[in-house]
Amino acid sequence: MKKLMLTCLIVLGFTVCAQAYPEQPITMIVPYNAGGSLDSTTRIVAEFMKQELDTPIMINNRPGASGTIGLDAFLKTKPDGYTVLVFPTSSFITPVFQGREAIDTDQFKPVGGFLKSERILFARPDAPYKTFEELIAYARENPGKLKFGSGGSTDTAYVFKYIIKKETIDVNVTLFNGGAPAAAAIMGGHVDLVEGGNGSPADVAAMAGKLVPLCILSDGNLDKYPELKTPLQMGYDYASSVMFGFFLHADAPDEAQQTLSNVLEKVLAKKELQEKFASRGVEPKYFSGDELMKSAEAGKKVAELYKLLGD
Amino acid sequence: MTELLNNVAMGMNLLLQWEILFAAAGGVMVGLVMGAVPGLSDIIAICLMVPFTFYLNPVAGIAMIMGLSKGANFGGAIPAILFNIPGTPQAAITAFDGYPLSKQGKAGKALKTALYASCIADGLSDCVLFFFAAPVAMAAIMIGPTEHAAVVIFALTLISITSVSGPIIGICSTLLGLLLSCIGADPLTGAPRLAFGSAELSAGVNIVPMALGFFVVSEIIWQRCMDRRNGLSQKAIYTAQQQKDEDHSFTFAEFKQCAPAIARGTLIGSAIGALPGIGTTVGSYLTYVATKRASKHPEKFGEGALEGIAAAEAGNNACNGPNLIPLITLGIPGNLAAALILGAFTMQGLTPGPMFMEQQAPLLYAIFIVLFFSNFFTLGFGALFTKVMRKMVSVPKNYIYAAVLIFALIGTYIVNNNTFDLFFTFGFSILGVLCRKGGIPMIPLLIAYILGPSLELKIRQTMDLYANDVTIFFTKPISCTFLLLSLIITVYIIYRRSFNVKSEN
Repeated sequence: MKKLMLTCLIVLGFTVCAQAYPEQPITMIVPYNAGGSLDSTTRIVAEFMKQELDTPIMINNRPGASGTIGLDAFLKTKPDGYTVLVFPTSSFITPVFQGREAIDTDQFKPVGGFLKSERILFARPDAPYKTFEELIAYARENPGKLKFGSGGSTDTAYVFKYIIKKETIDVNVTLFNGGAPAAAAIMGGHVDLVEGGNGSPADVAAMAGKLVPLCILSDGNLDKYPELKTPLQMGYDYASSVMFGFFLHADAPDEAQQTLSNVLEKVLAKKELQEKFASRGVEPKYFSGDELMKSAEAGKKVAELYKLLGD
Repeated sequence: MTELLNNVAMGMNLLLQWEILFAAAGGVMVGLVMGAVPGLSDIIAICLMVPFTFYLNPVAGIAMIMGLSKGANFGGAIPAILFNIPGTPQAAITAFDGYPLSKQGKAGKALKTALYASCIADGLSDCVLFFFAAPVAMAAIMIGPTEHAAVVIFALTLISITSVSGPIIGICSTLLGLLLSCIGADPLTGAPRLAFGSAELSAGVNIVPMALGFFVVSEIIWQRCMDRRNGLSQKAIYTAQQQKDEDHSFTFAEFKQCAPAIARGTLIGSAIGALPGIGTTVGSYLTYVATKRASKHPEKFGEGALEGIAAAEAGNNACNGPNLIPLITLGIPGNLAAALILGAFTMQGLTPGPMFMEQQAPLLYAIFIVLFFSNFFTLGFGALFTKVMRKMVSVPKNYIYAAVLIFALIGTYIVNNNTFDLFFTFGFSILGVLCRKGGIPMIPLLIAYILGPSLELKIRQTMDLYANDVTIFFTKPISCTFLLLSLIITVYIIYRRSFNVKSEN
């Protein structure tokens, strides 16, 4: 009898110890400024996840150096599954465009993606070209006249540079720090073309009719612009890939990865969450950890462009 | 006209909710306190409070963020006037005339001037936001990379040439600021520069640790050194004599004297505020310089001229309202507060953009009205707060210095949760002490440090877009105008100075 009681107590003890993850609050490190597109999207998703997981989620903004400050801070934390990194997959290759090595994705365990940002090429409505083909034709007849600015995605700018080289046209290219300055520049007539993610200020302007989308420069299509093609569909070999996702340490427990992944999928299917993003024309969707890493791999291919095209 | 009244009526409806009034009042109060504590600035206040705003209704959330800006922009003037330690970087200019006036025992007068100038200029610039958002946005959009670079060159030239210590030293100070701003990330590509392999340096030195070290910690070190050298044994900041000479009144005649400075501050502050990426410090300093030029007694500036205080405070507070113009008319945030307000709108499912003003007119009118009335909160709380803070001058200096030092270090750490930033604060404090000792003006260095990355970025973008054709700066009309203005002012001021020197001989 005593032995039975003891066994029962021990088993009970184990059940109590084996409480499901999460037992503590979770911290999410966002390597960009509060209020930016990654940050505000993360906050909404985290809010819903908090309710499902029944544990507080704290957002920690660590901006700087194209995301590497926050990344370094994340790598220094304990791999216990309670610190999550929020990162766009394109940022793994950003150091390549600065002349350094890409960030090693083996250091991370992917949880899942929650937003795929398709990069769209925009022009003004008064331009003498209304489609991508017309743009190429116009650029060929007017070398050195057109000006392009990136909207914060350096890898997308390189994809565009590749297209320029392939089509042997002469377009001046520069980089802007984000969607906001790019949108201001094109609306003020200082550049003729910009790239911006869906949901960025340029896209918002396009939805209001102030800008016209010509094509997509990343590797996915958009429901709201069904006629736009990706570079791969148009016959070019490179396209950028930007997916916002959650990552854990490579050594974090699998249980944490699984739980977070399931909760993320559940939360992204909720109607209330979708409604919050509806007016920005952005559709968060669940992407599995594998799809997240596939996006990171696609980015590695774009990194080759730096060697190919130079600065 | 009826439609305007209709929208205003609907706006006022939205306004008369306790949540919104509390959010505005709360924002102003917290902003005042955070601005007044030299370690905590408006940037930190906004970053800390922003998560709360996401869960309030949009008008309340925005009222809170803007209240923080308004409160902090005035709050920073309080320690600047009382102790020569600016609570926010932009208040450093208020200290030029505020502190000398305070040493004459007239702290109350200085504080009242700062308060009224701040609130009136802020209120007027909110009216600019309300009535002129659309045309101002149209003008602001004409400023592309080329024009922006020319405007920054103009601002830096003006700031260096008009320096009290002389144009050459002013230019040196500016150039040093530009050099220091190169540390960190390349503004175009983000590649690390002058980082010596350190991850912390590759992000650059954030303005908060820089300003805290350069102005606040260095001031404490300097005052201690001066006290020891002068053998001052007094405990409190003010001598008994000064406390007897106290004059804390602010008469209507004095107000009339300051009115032109306030008007100038409103205009310049609104223009600077509407342009993305220039900032309140520049607005404050340009107004100060313009007012000094226009004054009949420029030699009084720096010794306690009321117009100097009014100009500096009007210049920085007038930037607040117009900061929102690019955001609400085009969906483009021009500064941190606007970017966070964009985030707050997004959380509520709203999307600022070109159609925003038409689609959300009642909401925007409600926001304008709240902003305007928030200035009364600033006035009320500010008056109470300054009355309390004035008592601080009887507190023994050592306690004040110790408290300020602790807050400065906390403020440095809060920005990035990074202990390495404390080294930056110490490093810049040494630089600050050296500048004070060597008579090198500190404001040009600060402003050059703030504007440096932006200047380089715009010049490089221009070169990228125009295939390295430098003459583009002169072929584009707006850019050419500003560069010519810079040249004209430089020539004029150097001519005037050499003329003065000749006439003295």
